[in-house]
Amino acid sequence: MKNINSAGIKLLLKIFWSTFKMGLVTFGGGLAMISVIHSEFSEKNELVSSEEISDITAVAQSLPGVIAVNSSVMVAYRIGGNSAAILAGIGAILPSVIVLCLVTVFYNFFVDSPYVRGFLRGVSGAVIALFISTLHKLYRKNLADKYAVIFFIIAAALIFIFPSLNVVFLIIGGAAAGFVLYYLVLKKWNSIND
Amino acid sequence: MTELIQLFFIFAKIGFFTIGGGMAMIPLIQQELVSRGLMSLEQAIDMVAISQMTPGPFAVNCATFSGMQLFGIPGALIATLGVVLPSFVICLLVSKWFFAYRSSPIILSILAGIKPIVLALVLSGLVSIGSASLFPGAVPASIDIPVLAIAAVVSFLLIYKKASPVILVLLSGVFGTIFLR
Repeated sequence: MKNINSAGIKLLLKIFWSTFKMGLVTFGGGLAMISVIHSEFSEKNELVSSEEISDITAVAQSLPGVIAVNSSVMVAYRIGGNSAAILAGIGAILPSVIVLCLVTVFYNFFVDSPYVRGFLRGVSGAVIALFISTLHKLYRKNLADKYAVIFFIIAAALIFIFPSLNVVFLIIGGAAAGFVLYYLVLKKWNSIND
Repeated sequence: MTELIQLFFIFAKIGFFTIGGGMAMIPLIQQELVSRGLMSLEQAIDMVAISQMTPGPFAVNCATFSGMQLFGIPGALIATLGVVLPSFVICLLVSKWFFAYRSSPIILSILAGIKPIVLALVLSGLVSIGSASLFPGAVPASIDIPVLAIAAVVSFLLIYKKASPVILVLLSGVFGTIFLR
């Protein structure tokens, strides 16, 4: 983004608008947003390959910070460098800031409103669907071979047996196991990401 | 002024130590704000409830809400800046490095190990959010049929029609506002 021309500005605005929309519909946590990121940046605009988005969301999930902001910043960095990344991060949090400032003022109306409750009940159905479509999108990419299936089963079992288990341990465990298995033991890493 | 700076650092700390999603941070957020006397316990409980009911990342919502309650709009902006600053700094640094080495054997091997874990996290997210939304009552037998129907229709449209998730979430909300009050 050294030469900011009109095409560059257009791209920046597009990125900002995509992450703004994403922030507006972030219900149910950053994981539910993987599906939205795929839709906005890969399916609609083909700015980033869906393979790369699946890598980026895996990294964004593993880093400290707010997941939705992490993913937005990293995807936008891939498209347009630093300026795009910063705009994308601002886009992702701006709806929060606007909505929360309003809600704080109209707190009592908001908390007791049957309309708000109805809205959230409707949204909760859509959030379930976001998770289902994310699973559908990722399962082939993220379960590339039989070892990945074993990792997945172990991780899922650990989460259900120990619900308060810190996600960090699972991710570090997965990273370490991936390094040992694919890099040191199998010496095979190209086919798994193609 | 010193209180604003204190608020900034509290949320920067929360942002930095949030790994794997904001919900895991509820105890830390409440403890930081309540034990420092910035909020009463009731206010902190309200903050969590409101942050779950509003769009946007949970930790960001907590920051904006508490900043707004304590110091108005300047507080909201400062607290929000605090909570996202670690994300910005870490992700910009990691991005520079990650995209340069993304196809190196070590990174590909590590990613191949992390990706199945992410899938497991998505599945567990589905199970916990699904069970909370589909079985809202105390009796597990009473399933929320309208929510189930929305989930089924929206899943179909997302997967087979490649419909926009942004529009579907908003439409589901509008549908709920009209019919599910």
